[in-house]
Order: sequence, then C-alpha cells, then structure tokens
Amino acid sequence: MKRVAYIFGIGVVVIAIGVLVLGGDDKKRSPIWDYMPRAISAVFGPKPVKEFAMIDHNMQSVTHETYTGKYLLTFFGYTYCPDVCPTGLSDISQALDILGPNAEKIIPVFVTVDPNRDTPEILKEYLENFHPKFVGLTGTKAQIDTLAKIYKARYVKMKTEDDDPGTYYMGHTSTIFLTGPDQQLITSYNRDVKPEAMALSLKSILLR
Amino acid sequence: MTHKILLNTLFASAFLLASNGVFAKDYQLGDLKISSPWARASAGPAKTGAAYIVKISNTGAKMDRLIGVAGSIAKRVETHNNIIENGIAKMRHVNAIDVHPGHATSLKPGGYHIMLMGLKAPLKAGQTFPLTLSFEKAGEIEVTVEVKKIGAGRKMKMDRSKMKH
Repeated sequence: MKRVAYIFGIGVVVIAIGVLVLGGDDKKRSPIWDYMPRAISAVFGPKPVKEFAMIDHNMQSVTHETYTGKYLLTFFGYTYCPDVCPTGLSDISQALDILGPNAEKIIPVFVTVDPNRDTPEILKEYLENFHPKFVGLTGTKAQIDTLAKIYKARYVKMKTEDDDPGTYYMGHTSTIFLTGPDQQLITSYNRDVKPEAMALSLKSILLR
Repeated sequence: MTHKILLNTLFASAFLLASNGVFAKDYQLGDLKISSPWARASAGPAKTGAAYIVKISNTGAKMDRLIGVAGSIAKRVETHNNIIENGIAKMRHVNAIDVHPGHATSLKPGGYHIMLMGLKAPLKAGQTFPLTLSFEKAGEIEVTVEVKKIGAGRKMKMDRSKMKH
C-alpha cells in the first residue's frame, strides 16, 4: 500500500514536471517556467529546439539548424518603418562595431513582419545600410508567425488613414533578442538600450 | 604663388566644413532655440520618412508647444510619438509637443518625431529640405533639415561609409 502511494506520488511529481518542461498552450503555462528554465534544463537536459524555416536576403533557405553554434541578435521589423527599425538596426550595428573581434560569433538578424513588401531583394538593399553581417529573413506569413511565436514576438498591420493601399504601417515587438549556440534565449534588450551598454552586456555573455 | 595656396586652402576648408555638415544650424525664435533639425534617408521604395530635432530649448517663463509642421517634401507631415501597447511598438499621431519653460524637448529616434508621409521623392543622405515649424506662442519658423544616412546613430557620429570591413 505504502509502495503504491510512493510510486503514485513520484508519478504525479514527474507528470507535473513534465508538463512544466514540455510546456503546453502558451497562455496556460506556469509562471515558474519563466524563472526556472536553466534549472530545469540542467536537471532534465536541454529544451527542445523549436524549428523554423525562412528565406534569407540572398534567397537561400535557412532553418533553425543554419546558425548552430552562433549567437543570434534578432530584431523584428519592416523596411518601410521610418523610425524604430532604422534606429534598432543602427544600434545593433554600433554595438557590434564596439565589440570588434568579440563579435565574431554573433550574427545580427532582421526578420521582416511585412513579407508583402519586403522581398529578399528589398531586404538585401536595405541591410546594406547597416552592419555587413546582417542577415535578412522573410517567408510566408505562416513561417514568419512560427518564428515570431518562438520569440514570443508579435506584430500587427495597422490601419492607415491614407487612401493609398501601398502605404501601411506595422506595429511590432521592438525588443532585440539574443539567443545562444544552443538556440535558446539568453536575454533581450529593449530598444532604448544604448549601443555601448548592449556591447558591454554582449561581451560579458560571450566571455562567460 | 602664396596667393594660389591661400585660395586653395580656403576652398579646401570651405569644402571640408560643408561636407561635415557643420552648417547644422541652430535657430532662435522668441524664447525658443531650435537645434539641428535632421532626417533619415528613406529606405528604397518606402514613401515614409522620419525627421527629428536634436533639441528645442525654452528659455522663457511660459510653456510653448509645437502644434504643427508643414513642408512640401511629403503629402502629409505630422508629429508622432512611439508607444508600446501590449508589447507592440506603434506610432501615434500627436497634436502638440510641449516645450516647458526652462526645459528642452527632443524629437529623436524612438521618441517624438516628425513623420513625412507620402514622400514625393526618396530622401537621400546629403540633401536638405525646408520644414515650417508652428509654435503656439512663438509663431512660425522655416528650418532647413539635413538628411543623414539611414543608419545614422542617435548621436549622428558614426558614418558607416568611412568604415572598412
């Protein structure tokens, strides 16, 4: 009897931890998940890598495996964005310049939330204005949604007051995300972070 | 001989000064000092641009407000702010931007800015264009906006074209 209770108890605990580790619907996940990812992965092994597939600015297919071993600094935006995106991309570029050779393992990534207008060619031309290592990613709406979901980034098409259907704006998460060689999220920077501060933070992470 | 050298030096200095954008200007309008209006070059086919003013200082005793911006550079010119709503960054049209007495306001990347909607032609780095600023108390003034490269940082110091990678 005691033994059954014992096994049952362990079973409950394992199932509970399993639910926490493997997640479930984003909205229902436990808040503990936010605070204990490292502890959990230390005990139970690395989190599953979330898969994605996109096209880069050179029309090459990329997936979650393309950048294994690299740190990615990812920013969601669109090329028609007049203020937040050029500013964010410029900040990232400056941070990488400040880092110098330490930036070797970092790849800056610009993911468009506006695939209708941001073709690979447009992305390529746009990114020439920023750090030469910048990768631009686009894809179908479903592919972009998958990648956005991995980062818990959101975006929305805004209504424009113009009568011109070609002129519209996108609202989008403007956080800069840093993922590590194991493709897990390390930290994020809000868009007010100055390049010098971002560089310092990146340096301490890279040299851990 | 010296004449020629002098003349050449003068020309060279003038050229250097001009190309460094040292003519980034300050304007005085009543109690307001308006410093360095600038804009980003627009991206490729994009018809929207953003312009900024490094500082508007109010040395007077009364509040003033920027209540309008006008220019022929675009179909519509408006003042906007950036807000974050539910984790999503959005732009919001604002009717006025306050400049408090004894304080300064900045229109800068990520914050208040002037939206140039429906650009009649792409904005290119190095060009300038006029904008008329309307203040509630101080009145109107036409300023010259300098267009910087799209990758211009917040401090406008870094020029990527000079960097070799």
